[in-house]
Amino acid sequence: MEYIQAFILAGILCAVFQVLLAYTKLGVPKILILSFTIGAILAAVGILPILEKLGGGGLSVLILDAGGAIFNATLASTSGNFAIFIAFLCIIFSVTVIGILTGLSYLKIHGTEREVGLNEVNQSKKA
Amino acid sequence: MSALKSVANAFIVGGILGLIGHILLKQYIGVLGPDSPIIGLLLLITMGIIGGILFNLKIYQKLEESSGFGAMLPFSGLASAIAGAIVGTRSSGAPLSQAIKSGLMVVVTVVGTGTLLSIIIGLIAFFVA
Repeated sequence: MEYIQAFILAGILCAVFQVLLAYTKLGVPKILILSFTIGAILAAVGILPILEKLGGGGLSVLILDAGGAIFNATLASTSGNFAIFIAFLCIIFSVTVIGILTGLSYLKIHGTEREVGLNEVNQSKKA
Repeated sequence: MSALKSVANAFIVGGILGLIGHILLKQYIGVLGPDSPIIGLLLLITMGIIGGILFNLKIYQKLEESSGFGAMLPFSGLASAIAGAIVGTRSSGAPLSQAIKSGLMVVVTVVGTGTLLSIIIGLIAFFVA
């Protein structure tokens, strides 16, 4: 049952933000920033803990939940507990490194689109 | 791609990624115990790696195209977005250093701004309460 809950809750939240993308002119970066903010607001009014209980890991993987995590980290930091904040920075750093490695390996494996284009030109010249 | 279809795709793709996240979470809790502080870290890094592998297989780009935020809202989308910025900038003929810089800019603009706003909300809640 909890697996179905994770699927449905993550699916609904993604669909809500896709509605914003499809029917408004906000664009991807602004909606992503908005999702952070909404996560923080949901944490502030106490809805996010309920969603976390329902969705489990399905909610944890969403960027929305990151906003809530920063909200909690900020409150904890005001009483001198920086552990959540440091954990968050570690996650962002790790995912950034993964993203850069992904980009570099993609370029290594597939080459740039421009190079592909040049190869085609060269081949057609030879032919 | 009709807007309504992309919303339906977002539900399915986001749901599947959420389901993968929950399965991973249960596995990590099973191995490390429920109180381990590194579970969240491991979970999101694994999602990033999944996004990275699917990006290199050219699958994640298709998911983003068809489902939009279904693929972009989960953390795997962040790794894919960084990689996409690097590949896109490099493909337009820019040097590699500039391509990596554009990847970092994705993190700074989206995560940086999002974090800053969330901190402000946290501070407001702290001073109001």
